Amino acid sequence: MKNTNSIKFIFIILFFIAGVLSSLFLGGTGEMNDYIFYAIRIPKTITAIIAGCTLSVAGLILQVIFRNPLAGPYVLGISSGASLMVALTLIGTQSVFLMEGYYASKSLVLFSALAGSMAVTGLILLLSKRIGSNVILLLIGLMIAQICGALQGALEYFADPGKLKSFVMWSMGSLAGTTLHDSLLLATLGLIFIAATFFYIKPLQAFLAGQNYSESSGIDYKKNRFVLILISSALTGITTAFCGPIAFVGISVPLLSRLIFKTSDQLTQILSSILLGAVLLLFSDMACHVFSQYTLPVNMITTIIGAPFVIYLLFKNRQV
Amino acid sequence: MISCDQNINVQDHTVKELFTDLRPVGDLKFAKRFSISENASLKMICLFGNKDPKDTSAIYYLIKDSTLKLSGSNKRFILNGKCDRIASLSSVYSTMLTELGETEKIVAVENLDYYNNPSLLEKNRRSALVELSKGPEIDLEKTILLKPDIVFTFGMSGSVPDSKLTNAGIPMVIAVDHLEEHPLARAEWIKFFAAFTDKMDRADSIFNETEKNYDKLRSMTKGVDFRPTVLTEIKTGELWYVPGGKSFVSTFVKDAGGKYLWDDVQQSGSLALGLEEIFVKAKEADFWLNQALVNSKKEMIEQEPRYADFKAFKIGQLYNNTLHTNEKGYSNYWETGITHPDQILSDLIQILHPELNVSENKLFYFYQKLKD
Repeated sequence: MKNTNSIKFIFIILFFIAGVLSSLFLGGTGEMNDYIFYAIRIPKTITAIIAGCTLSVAGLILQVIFRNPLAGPYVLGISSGASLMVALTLIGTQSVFLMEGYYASKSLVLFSALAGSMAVTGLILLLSKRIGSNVILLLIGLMIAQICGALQGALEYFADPGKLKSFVMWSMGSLAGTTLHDSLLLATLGLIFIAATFFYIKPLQAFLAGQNYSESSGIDYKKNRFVLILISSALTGITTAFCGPIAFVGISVPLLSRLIFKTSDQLTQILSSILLGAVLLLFSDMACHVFSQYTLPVNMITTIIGAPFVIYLLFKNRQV
Repeated sequence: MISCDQNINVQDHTVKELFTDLRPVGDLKFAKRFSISENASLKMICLFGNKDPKDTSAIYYLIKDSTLKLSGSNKRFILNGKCDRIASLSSVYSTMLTELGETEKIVAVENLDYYNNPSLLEKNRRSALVELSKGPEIDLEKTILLKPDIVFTFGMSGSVPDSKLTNAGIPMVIAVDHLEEHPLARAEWIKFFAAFTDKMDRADSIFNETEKNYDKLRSMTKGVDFRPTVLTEIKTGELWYVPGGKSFVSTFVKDAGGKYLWDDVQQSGSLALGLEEIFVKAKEADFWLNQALVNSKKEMIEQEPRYADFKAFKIGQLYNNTLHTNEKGYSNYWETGITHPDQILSDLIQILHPELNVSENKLFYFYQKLKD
């Protein structure tokens, strides 16, 4: 089993390397120079890798906590909270250029997304202290997502076409909108929170067996659940802030990881989710540029390509 | 020209008699999506379809002979005489109507937030104008209660309830001027609106002047030695929508003596490209036009710092069509420029070929250089 998993990891790493090289050197117009490589390709590649890692880990944490393969950053309303705050910023204000300086104004969108995701996270965490049942917490998260969606819909309804277009484009997700500085900042923040996850492998392992088992193993269930939801929200929030909401990755990658590595060992699952998430987004980005005259939105690719593949795998392996 | 229409019913006459001596009106030179003809009894205005310009999508009969009792089906609209109460759901059409001297006939518009038109804004201050859609859909009840003789809207609008208005006896015109391929063709649509208000002479005069100015300006750039390259638009999210080679932008740049970088793309619609594709083709572009709502180089950098790596940015050759904007930030470029493409061309020639001195006073109508 160990040897099989090692071989699987090697293959995934090879795919990862292929994805990185493709992202850096293939596609586009076929022309390459230093500027394109350093200012466009490298930031995009770093963003794809980090976004894939963070969303996958965020999804894995939530699926373990809620013991539900459909749990992900969207279902708790975290992404919806981020989208709502960005909608308020882009649509609700006269202009997005309210503050001086590039980092201030693009930061406004970034902080809005973070603030929105943290606000929803705060609410979920507050409720998690009072509500023991994960099912109820998940349902509340779904309702919060619905409320955020409805408010966002109202803003969109009254928005003028130009601002609405800006927001719609943001909500399609983007891996290429980051500069080198942005991508390094995303990488730093993302890696900090991913690293924090590794300190909670034992609680995650225990959570698989449920709350009672966890507590009987000496693990403070509520406290660890609190921290893990916080980590998951932070991972989702920072990625959404830099890239917009990217669909499907948080749900599908942990699922794919479990299908490939048929083990409940959470260290294996975290490592494989990190790699698979990066691979998925690297190849999705390549698929976005398959037509020379059009760049497709990354959300469309991650969902259209990924979802049927997961359905196929689920048919083949009925226990997930 | 249609010689007989089987979707018309008429009392006391044969349909064939109705169409006797129908002669074309308006001497259309560029516009292909409508026709006007008339005889002693009626005026017939035909709209030609979205997909096939030969397909008649609607016909409007303006009855001159009050004894005629006409009824129609299948997108045939009967109007008694000319229109005196007009709901205009496009600032472009409103501009054409006000230039025809029909401001007082406009009883409603869609949303004044988009308007720079001083006569309509003044009419609104007198509370003599109704707004029908502050959101994406028009207020159906308000529209019906207003009892306009006609509602003008445009073909891309999906939010106007076509059958509900026509069932209430209000004819609707879904104009397709945006499908015309040349700026002069779209400007010629002033004759279309003039047909509904009996102002054809005035429309002819306005259009002839526009055409004469446009041709004079275009001829001045025919012999230029150097055609500067032009990039347009900015990113929206990850994508950069650049108009195709058959778009108005491409035509204007060519007629202004420039070279539009995507003039070889055989479509009028936009291409959705990434920053890399744009950079490869346009990093050395001499001029950069039409940066949406941006008013300064600083704002551009705030949105995307990599704009600073384009040559046009470095040498400060950035021009946007936001010289005149209203309180809400909307410019008059489309509102007025569609009717006066000669003014757009004048601005562009002054930008791309200032040595030609097309305007003695260096008067700009729509464009301004971006501030730092």
